[in-house]
Amino acid sequence: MTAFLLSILIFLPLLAAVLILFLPNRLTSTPKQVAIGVSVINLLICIFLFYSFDKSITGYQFLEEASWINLDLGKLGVININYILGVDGISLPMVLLGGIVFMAAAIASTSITKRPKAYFAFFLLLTSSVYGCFVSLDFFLFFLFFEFMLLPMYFLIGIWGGERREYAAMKFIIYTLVGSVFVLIVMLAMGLSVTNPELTAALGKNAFTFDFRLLADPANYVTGSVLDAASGTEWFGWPVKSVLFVLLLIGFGIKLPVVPFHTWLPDAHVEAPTAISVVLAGILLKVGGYAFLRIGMDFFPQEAMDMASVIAILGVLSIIYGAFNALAQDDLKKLIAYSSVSHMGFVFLGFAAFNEEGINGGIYQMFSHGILSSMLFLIVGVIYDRTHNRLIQNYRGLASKMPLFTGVVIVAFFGSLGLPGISGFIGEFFSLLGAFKTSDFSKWIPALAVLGIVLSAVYLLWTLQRMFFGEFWVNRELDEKMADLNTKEVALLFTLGFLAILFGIYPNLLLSISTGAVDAYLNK
Amino acid sequence: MLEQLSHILSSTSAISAEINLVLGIVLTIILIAFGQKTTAFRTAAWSITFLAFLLAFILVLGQTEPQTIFNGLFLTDHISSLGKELTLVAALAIMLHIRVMKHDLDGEFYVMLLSIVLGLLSIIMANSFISMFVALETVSICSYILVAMNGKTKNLEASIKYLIFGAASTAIMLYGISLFYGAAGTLNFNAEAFQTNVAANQNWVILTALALTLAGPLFKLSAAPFHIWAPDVYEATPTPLVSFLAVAPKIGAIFLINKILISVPVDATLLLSVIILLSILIGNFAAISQKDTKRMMGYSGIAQAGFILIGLLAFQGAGFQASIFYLAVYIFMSAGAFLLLDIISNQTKSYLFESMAGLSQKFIFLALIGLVLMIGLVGLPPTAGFTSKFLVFSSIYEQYASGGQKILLWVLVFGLINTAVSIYYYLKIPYYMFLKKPSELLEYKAIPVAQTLYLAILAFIVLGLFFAPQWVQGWF
Repeated sequence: MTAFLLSILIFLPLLAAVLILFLPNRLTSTPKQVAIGVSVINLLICIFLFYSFDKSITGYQFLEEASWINLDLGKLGVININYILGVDGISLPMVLLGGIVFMAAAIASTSITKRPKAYFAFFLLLTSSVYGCFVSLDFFLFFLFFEFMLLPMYFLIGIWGGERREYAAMKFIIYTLVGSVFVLIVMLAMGLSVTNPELTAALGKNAFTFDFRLLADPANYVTGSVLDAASGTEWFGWPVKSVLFVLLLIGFGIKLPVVPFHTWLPDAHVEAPTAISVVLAGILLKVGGYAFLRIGMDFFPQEAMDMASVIAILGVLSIIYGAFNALAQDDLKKLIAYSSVSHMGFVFLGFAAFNEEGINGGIYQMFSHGILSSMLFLIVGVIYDRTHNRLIQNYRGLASKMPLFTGVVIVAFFGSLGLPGISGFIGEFFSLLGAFKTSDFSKWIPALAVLGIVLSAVYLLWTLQRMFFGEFWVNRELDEKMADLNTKEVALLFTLGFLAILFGIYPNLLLSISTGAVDAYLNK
Repeated sequence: MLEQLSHILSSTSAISAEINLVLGIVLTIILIAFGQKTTAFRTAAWSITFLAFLLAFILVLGQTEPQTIFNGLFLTDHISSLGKELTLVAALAIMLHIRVMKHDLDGEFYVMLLSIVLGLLSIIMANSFISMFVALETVSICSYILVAMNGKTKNLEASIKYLIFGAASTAIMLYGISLFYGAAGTLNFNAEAFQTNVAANQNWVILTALALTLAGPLFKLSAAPFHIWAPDVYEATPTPLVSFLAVAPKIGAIFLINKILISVPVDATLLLSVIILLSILIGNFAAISQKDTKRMMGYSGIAQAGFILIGLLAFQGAGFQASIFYLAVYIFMSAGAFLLLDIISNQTKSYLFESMAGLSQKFIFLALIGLVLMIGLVGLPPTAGFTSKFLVFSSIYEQYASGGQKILLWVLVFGLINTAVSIYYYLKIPYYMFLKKPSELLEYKAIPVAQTLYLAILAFIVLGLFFAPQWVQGWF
């Protein structure tokens, strides 16, 4: 029964996308129903995985393995590419987050009226590839999903986006494609330097592998290959492994995104429709963080430790630069986009600490930011749906007209600025704790990051005060449109708010899952 | 004397496919000479040509035994028959393109097509500079005629450009061959005497001779610096013929370059790397600014030639196989892309990017297939375009890792970054089809099922070879 659950997560949306394409055009609401149905099933699978996950096992669970491509290179050896899926305590939180975010996004997408067939087909393709990224355990397979993510996203921004959608979509795809080229270089170098020892012995020649579990073990490096420390090979004057690590740092850093590779994100967010912003901030950015942890730091732990201060500085730079940018925005959506950059900085900071607190904190921060940023973008969507205007100065005193809405906004804003009791606090707290505890870099770095928290309090509270408190006033005679939340919005925002508080009060729900895996990860 | 005769006779049996093509040429010419200029006769000419290609393909399939024929002029082995199969597949793909698009071409076009393929098959099994030269010139001269045949000013202009650059590169090649002949005393580049005598010279002499000799095949490959003809020819020539000229000569050229590289005892890594880097750079950056899709395909073809050549940097290892795989996939991607452009231009009467605006709203399947083909050309998964790029890049990576030169690493990094650049112009086609608003003025016709079906088959192959590369790998 549990044997093919992970495959279902990937292939159900894929099949549904194909099915939607073949639907006749007159069935305008069927694509919507199919997408919601698939999201519900996937969410249920994610919850099931979450509950039946065995916390005492630190390795991968729900494994699926099948042989896929075997390329014979003649005397050089064989390239083995396998279809391997599995989750552990690091990827499971991301899979669960995927379930939640896609569910929320599917519901938020119901208001799409322009070419619904194509929209939901792309949406489901995106779903499929994001799940694929989190559960694949073969570098080639991972890369397949990692690249494939770009296309549906490109069209979702490019067709259903705002005014400058074409520019934003092109910028998005070129930035992220450059990132994945860097990852591809690493994949080539790793895949052709690491062998599967059993298969090599059986075949009598090198059996190159892309299996994550084998790639992480230096014992499997081919003697004399560029990765082999004894070979002493240098690329552009640097040891090969450091070069590869830097490539991954940039490649996944673009995706995360970390300053200075972040400039595509505000554009993409501002132009994307609400539901796609939710997906982008809620889960797509997490692919970068997850992959950096799973691939970058797992394969190159020594390099990660050597460059800990660089990673941490990048993280802090994102935190502070993102926060200052957010302070300067007039557009609510842009403000939230920059706050995303700022909050994702904590992920890098936590990872850089390379200790239990830090990495757990990073993972928690990704999960919590997934939920909170989904809420924030939905909140922007609520305002935008009513008035088609997102400028902060056009609104004042919304609290008096929209009490329910204001309640959710307060939860989301306070969660984001790190109020204890809401999930954001746990992630930031543990990341900072780890960063203060480590001896890999100076204490000044986390100290500066704390300044970022203060800044985030400034821009969020200031916005809250400007838009929601005081006397009710809305520019351009839009005031009669400012009705409070409808049922759909209440269901969405309250559920997410509940989750944010739940994971804020009872963090063990998630920490108990990630701790074991992180432990094993650190003590390898 | 008798010995000679029996050698010629046994040699003749090894070129049955080529003889079959010659018969096809003769039959078609007779048909043109005595037939009328009507659709029925044109269809007959098409059928004869198609059958000739098909029969040649079947005849080629059997040849695997290495055999030197015609006193060492030609060599047939399983590599050459692989090359011939690829060439004939490309030819068949183009014949189907002509059929499904109902292009009513004159019989003369088919004669030229058959002659070009004949020349290409001869290039692939050439074993001596003489036979190589004659075969290359057969292909070149027929190509000039093919481009000029429509008779409009722009065709003539393109053809003259083609001719001038072709003649120049031939002259350069001849100079290189004469250097080799002077050094080796034999024209047969597979002979032992060739290797030992050439190796006795200084490196820079051999390298110069090699560089000059490569001018011929590089011109056919449309690689830099012999690429200048490509965009004009692509723009002016009827689409199915461009589709043919974009792929088939590349196959012959790659097989030929591989042969020369194996024979000439010199390290050509630097030379090839420069050619590759130039091709990719010029092709990519010129393609970015194009407004006409066919010109874009022309420039991008130059870049693709560079990518295919990358495999030959590692010809001692698995590189040549990677190049062959790339070529095999490229046949389908390129044929599909040109078919797509042809179908679209049937609707819009134009090859400009702007004219395809919003086509996805009317023809969603066409647009999706176009998307598959374009991401294949970029080299994104899940298409075989990715597998082929993956293979050529891993082959030079292997070459580098097993003690190759630094320059290989530069080619690798530079090539990969350029794939990211290429997404900009390839994606322009889906970009216009999906993202732009359709123009109001245009009346859309229905697209015949045969066209969509054929296009879908090509796209399916491009997808299928990603999931099951052994379909092509099994040939090796």
